[in-house]
Amino acid sequence: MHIPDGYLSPETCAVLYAASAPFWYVALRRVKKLLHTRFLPLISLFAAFSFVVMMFNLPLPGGTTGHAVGMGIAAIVLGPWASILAISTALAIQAFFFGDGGITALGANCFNMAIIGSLSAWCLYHLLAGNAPNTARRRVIAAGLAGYAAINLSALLAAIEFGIQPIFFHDAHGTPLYCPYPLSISVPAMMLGHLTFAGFAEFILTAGVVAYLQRADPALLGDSAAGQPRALRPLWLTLAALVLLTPLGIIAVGTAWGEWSPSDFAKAPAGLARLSNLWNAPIARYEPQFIRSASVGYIVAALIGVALILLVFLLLSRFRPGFIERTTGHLYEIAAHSLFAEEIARTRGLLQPVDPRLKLCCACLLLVAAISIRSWLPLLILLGLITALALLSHIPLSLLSKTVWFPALAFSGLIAIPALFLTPGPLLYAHITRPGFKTASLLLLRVEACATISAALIFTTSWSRLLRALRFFRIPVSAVMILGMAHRYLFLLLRTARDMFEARQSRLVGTLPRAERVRLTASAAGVLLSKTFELTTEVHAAMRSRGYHGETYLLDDPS
Amino acid sequence: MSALLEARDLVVHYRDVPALTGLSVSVAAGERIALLGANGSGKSTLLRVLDALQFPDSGTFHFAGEPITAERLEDRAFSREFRRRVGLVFQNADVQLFNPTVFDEIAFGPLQLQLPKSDIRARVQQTLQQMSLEHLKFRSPHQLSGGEKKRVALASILVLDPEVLLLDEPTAGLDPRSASEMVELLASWRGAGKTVLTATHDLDNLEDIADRVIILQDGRIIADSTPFHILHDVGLLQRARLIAAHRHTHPGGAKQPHPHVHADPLTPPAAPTSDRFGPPADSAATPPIPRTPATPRAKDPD
Ligand SMILES: Nc1ncnc2c1ncn2[C@@H]1O[C@H](COP(=O)(O)OP(=O)(O)O)[C@@H](O)[C@H]1O
Ligand SMILES: [Mg+2]
Repeated sequence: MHIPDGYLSPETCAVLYAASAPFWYVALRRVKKLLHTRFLPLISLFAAFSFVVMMFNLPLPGGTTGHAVGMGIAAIVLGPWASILAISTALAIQAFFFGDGGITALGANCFNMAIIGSLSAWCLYHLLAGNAPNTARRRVIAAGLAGYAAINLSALLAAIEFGIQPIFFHDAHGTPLYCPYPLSISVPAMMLGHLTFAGFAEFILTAGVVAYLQRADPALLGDSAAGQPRALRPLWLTLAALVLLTPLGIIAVGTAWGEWSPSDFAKAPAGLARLSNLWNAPIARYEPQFIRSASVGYIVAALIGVALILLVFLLLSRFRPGFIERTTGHLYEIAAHSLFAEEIARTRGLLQPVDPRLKLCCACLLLVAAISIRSWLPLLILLGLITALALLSHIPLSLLSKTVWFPALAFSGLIAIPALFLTPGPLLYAHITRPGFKTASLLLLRVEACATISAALIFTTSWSRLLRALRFFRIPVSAVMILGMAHRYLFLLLRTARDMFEARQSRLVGTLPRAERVRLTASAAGVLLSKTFELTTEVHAAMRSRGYHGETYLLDDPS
Repeated sequence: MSALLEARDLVVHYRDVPALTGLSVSVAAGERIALLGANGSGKSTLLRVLDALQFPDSGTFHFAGEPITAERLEDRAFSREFRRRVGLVFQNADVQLFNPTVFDEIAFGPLQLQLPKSDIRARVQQTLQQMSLEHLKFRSPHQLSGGEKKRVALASILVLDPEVLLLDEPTAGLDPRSASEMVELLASWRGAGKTVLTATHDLDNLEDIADRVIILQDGRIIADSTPFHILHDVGLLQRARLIAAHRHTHPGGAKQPHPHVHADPLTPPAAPTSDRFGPPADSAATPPIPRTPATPRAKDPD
């Protein structure tokens, strides 16, 4: 669900950044007013909590496992506004520190998951739970459904963002330049995946944590935790308006930039007809006319596309070790990544001594360039150049290929394969079409180039310097403080979570039944949540003890 | 005589759990006090009240003659002044290190007090050197060892040069060497004119870090005396659950239960610290307590 760099056109990214900005602004103001000085540690620690919870593997039907985003829990215990900030912070750290989810696509990811996710989860939870007491079973179900609906709504938005790419952003021959799948494929593919797997993960986590809190810490389910808005209706209306307006906004911008005409709408699906011809051809002569009609061909082709993409998702999430091992494995990976990054950042390579502000500026410009380039030769050159820079900066080739190139290739490669066959146009080789080859290779190259640019930035700049550099972009001091504090406590919570899982693992003999595994993971998340609140209170006291009164100040330059 | 810190009849509850139950204490400027007490006796709570992080359900706390209340602390100028003069080092160092790097951590306090930026830089640099943290300047807190974290936490307070230092279990959880380094540091403040309150379980170094010892039990004071007197009152220490009568093996032979003190109050300051981890000095069945006040370092006259 984290959209990487390279799938969305620069225009789409800009629109979604712009759509998110007012929410961040309002959330920042509201939360600050409601929580006074406590807001800073609360948001920071909850961002760290969301980050860690996103690492938890939940056992799902069919032997697969999945991750939850945690927007359901965050919205329920923090209220929608604080949740928007916390989840956005977690996503920003993932993008800027771990290269997980794109930097240019950060606006889109925050919009889908942090903003729409939090608002819808909160609204639905309160609608379904009504006035039920804090310990009512109804609240558990309401929470689960809220989480389920929220992640599906986020996924739907992401699918729409994907799906409109081929409509607006294609070359003169209609070859898609970004995400290659039209709405007819992207929506069903994303939704089938989320209505079943990812939605379940979110359901389980949200319901499980609420059930845990009912037993262990019911006070957190009251309205005490953070500012909870009173009136539901305005929020509902905002939400509905947003969901309706976003695609329109993107379409409007697309029209301006992409010289879109109504015939383009017809073009993208029409392309699919080629694939359906393949299907229809042998029987065409004997069938009544309507089966060969464009709409049937279109539906058949869309189904094939969806099936192919679903297969990819299943392949990606199956055949891995046991679930606790996977969770602890993830938690270790994060710690290892940070170690590597700090170590490489300390060596004397080409990029390390460069002013972090300049590096951040250049990285952002290069990313924008990479997603703006629409032919593969310049992309290839860009990728080569960045790789050379990375190697000159002592980033080992093995690290680069293991943590950057291969994961991107595996993920985007699998996603791009169906496009080889589905994109309409003259044949290149076997069933691969010429535009299919172009769109798939373009996507892959762009994703690799973007991932390499991020990696070159992340591995050569220590986090604290990167944070300072953010100030240069006029990001408010409190946002920089939140990012810093969230990142710092991330490691504390990671360790706590790891210890919890390892302690259980050491007592486990054989495999647990699924219900038991679900309970175990949910209660681990619950314990972590209680600890996060405790820690918030303590950190807040420690800050006040040194004169913190709500304003934050930074020294611009440490040396 | 006017006390610097004056607390009267403090009562603090956490929901229904009583933490302080009518505690009164008066601390003069320049005193170095150790707060002893078993876990849960209320040491941390007392320190938090004295640092104005928490306000008592009933009772009063005066600092330099001024009553300290939530409303009084709302006044920015006053609270800045109070924060500059009183510093608390938390029991859990992780809580106190919330900044991305050691440098930022130490600069946080001075920045909040809005000292001039060039001044801050100089102060931070000086503190880094004093606490030998120079080489850790750009480290993140999660990359520090337990001992280093405690040192950074202490440095983040010392950079403000407060008159009153409140230390919550500064040696707890440290390995023997880091603990003794910490004790040496605390001991070096003898005669520096600072008012220091240290919550601790560490009887071994009591005389190094304090001239007055207060024992807490169930949220109130049960003893208030010199380290010498406290350490010799085995009955009192047992009642306060600070020492246990238990079995252990003596170098020579058989196990036998007997009361004993886990410290030799007469150890001269120069004695190697490893003594504390060796076997008890004597195998006698009664605690070896000579009746002469042999401590060579007297309380400083200021
Ligand atoms: N945040 C809290 N919530 C509830 N009870 C608390 C909290 N902090 C301390 N207590 C209780 O207050 C009492 C005193 O605790 P504390 O001041 O931390 O003692 P000490 O520092 O001597 O171990 C203990 O019974 C403890 O359980
Ligand atoms: Mg304590």
